[in-house]
Amino acid sequence: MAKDKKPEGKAKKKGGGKTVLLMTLFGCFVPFGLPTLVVCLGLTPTLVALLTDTDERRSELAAVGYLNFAGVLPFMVELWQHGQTMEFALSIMGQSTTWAVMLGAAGLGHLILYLVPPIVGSVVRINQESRLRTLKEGTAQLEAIWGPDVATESSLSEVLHNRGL
Amino acid sequence: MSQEKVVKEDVDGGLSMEGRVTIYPDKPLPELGCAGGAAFAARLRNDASQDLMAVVCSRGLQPRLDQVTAMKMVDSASVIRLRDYGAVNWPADNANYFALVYERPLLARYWQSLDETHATMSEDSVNHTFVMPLIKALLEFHRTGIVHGGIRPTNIFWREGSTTPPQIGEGLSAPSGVGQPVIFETIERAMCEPIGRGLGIHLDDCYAFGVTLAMVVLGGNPFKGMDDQTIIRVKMEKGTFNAMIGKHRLPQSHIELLRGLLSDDTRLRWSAEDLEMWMTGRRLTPKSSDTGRRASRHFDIGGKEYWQVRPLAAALAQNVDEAVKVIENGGLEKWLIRSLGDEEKSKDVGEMIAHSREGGKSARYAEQLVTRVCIALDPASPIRYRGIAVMPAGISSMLVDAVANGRDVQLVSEIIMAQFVTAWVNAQKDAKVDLVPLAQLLERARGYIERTTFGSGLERALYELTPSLPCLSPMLRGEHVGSPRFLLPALERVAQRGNKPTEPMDRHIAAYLIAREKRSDSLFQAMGPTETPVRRGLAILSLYGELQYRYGPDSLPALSMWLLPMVEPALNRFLSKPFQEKVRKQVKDAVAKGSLSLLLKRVDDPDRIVGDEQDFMEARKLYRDIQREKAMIEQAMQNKEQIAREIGKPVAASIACFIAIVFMAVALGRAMLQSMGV
Repeated sequence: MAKDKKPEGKAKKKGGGKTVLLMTLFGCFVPFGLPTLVVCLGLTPTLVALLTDTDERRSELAAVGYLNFAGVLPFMVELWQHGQTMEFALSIMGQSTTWAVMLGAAGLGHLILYLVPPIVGSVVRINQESRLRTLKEGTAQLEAIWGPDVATESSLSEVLHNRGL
Repeated sequence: MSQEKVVKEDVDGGLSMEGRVTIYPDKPLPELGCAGGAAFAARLRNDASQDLMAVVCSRGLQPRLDQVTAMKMVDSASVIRLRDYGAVNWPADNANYFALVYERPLLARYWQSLDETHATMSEDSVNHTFVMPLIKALLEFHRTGIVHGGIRPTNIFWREGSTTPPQIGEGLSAPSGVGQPVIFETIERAMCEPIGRGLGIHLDDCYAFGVTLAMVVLGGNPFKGMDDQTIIRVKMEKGTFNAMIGKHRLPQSHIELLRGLLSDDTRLRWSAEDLEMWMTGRRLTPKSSDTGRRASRHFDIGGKEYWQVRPLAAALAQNVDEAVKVIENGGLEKWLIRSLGDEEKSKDVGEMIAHSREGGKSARYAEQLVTRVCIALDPASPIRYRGIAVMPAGISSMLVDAVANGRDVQLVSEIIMAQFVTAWVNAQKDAKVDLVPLAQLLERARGYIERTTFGSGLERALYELTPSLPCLSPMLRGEHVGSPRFLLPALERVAQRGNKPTEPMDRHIAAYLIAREKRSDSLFQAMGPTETPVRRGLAILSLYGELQYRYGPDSLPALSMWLLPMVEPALNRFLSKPFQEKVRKQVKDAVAKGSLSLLLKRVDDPDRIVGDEQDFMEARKLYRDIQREKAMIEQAMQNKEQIAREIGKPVAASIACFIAIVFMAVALGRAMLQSMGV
């Protein structure tokens, strides 16, 4: 029974973490005011990634989130430089370039996520194959020096006995 | 003494005896031949002026090596002088023989045959020209501890009327008693097989001298025409003195001398010291013994009547079935008490019967019972068992002869195993103390025969019983290995022949080395047939390596090559193949050098073996680690997506993060520049 209860508790804890994170982010943005939040609409892909990424390491969220934020940041800075008004915020959001930059940056994140893992996988595989070859050469060399007995678990006296000693 | 020198041939056609003597096989001296072998002309290397004769012991009889050193010390004009001895290679037989090199006698043999008749000499002439020089010779034998065993007219070199003293001839080329006619042997020794008479005692030489003197003063052989058994029987019935002299009229001094010398009781027989006293004019009165005591009634055995114990004992030994009946039904004991009046002997016989019954009825119960009863009846006589008669001291020479010439070893073995010698020694009332060491020696021999381990058995008994015996290993046939120092050179020569056995070790060599070198038996147990060839090979190599270190020679390449197949499997103990190959090369070098100790060091170095084993265990651990890593990699390679997810996505996130930081830095930088109005 105790075992059954444990995963439930863990799940609760996990969900609680997310809420705290969201509330923290929300709390952080409050001082910036509503115009900033309007500009933050550009972080929608990150929000989506936050909800859809089930990977424990949150690699997708990180890749999309960082680049998405990098795409939103210039407009936030521009808004803050121009008095952080709702009009300017709406004017920024009314420009297609703004959306293209903010969403494009997020898209770049997805592109990286699409391209890099297979490349990394191939590199890792090449490395593994190379290591495997080295190890096989090592065992072959040990067998050449010590004979097939090096691969067995038999005692030394058994080895000598098998050799007629 | 280098064994290599044995095989060298002299430039003048002679053969070198260990580099000191040249023996000429093309110059035989048939008139000087003796029991052990033929005689040939010889010369000393460092003194070619003196004519010598070499007796080459080539007739399968073991020369008396235990007495050669003492004989060399004999310095008497009445004994032919032994100048040297050693091994000589005889090309005609392709064998090494032991040779005894004597000064040649100055005159021819006094008697050519025992059937000759000679004119009698005057009492004074006999005493001064014949008796006195020979008494001096006997004194010299007594002083040096030699029992010659071959004193007889045909082995004395002299001529009546010559101013040259008589010279006693050779006596060491064959076991004592071999070649000596029965007439010159005491009754007890005469009853034995010639090979089983044993070394004998000084008094036996005195007896032979007495018989010789009797023949000289009588001018002929009183037993002429009689066979050996008749001579023995007559001697037993009448006593030797009476049998030989009978009613002949002799000078009083000669009767006195012959009575003393021909006494059949050793306690009463004159020794060299008594003879010296006689020579100086002190007259002794010889006593008569009761050896021929007659019973009041006869005892029937084999259809004959016996009145005396000694002939009766001989008859019992010859009629075992009938003897067992009279022993078992108590008839013999009754006769001893009632007719002979000898209760003590009856008691002795009773004890022997009881002892035999204690042992249970074995396959040889009847023969063993009769043998023991005969010992009790006639303690001085030899042990008589299954048709042979042997003195306890002659068992060793009989065993040697049986082994060396392929005769019945089992019979001699049974005599030792049945403890007849202990019974015989216990039966010797007066001389028992002196004979105890002999009984102990035979008891030890029995222990060796009982043990069947390598290095024990009959072979061990053989070499322990005969300390001077050379190694009789079949593989050393044609070699004369008189000392362990000559073993390796002999094996080296054997190794150079084509028909050598598979191993340079057998039970004879093992027993010989244990006996002569006082080695521990445990080393030789590793050479037994039950051990693996490798253990055997290493044990042999270890032993021979030590012998080479002690005695040389420095190089034994053929023997090393002979041992190589035995020890080569030991290289498998080196688990590392490259190291094994390296050692193999070193082993070949050691074989080429002929160094057995180096060869052993190469194949059986404990430090190198332990080091190799440790390296093997480390290699095995490394192998396991590699296998483990291989398995992990192979498992990882099975799932490409997992690799992409677990490694590729974090990498992608990192790249994205890096690009994002760059973008943000650029955006913030531009904003800062704008705010500064740049």
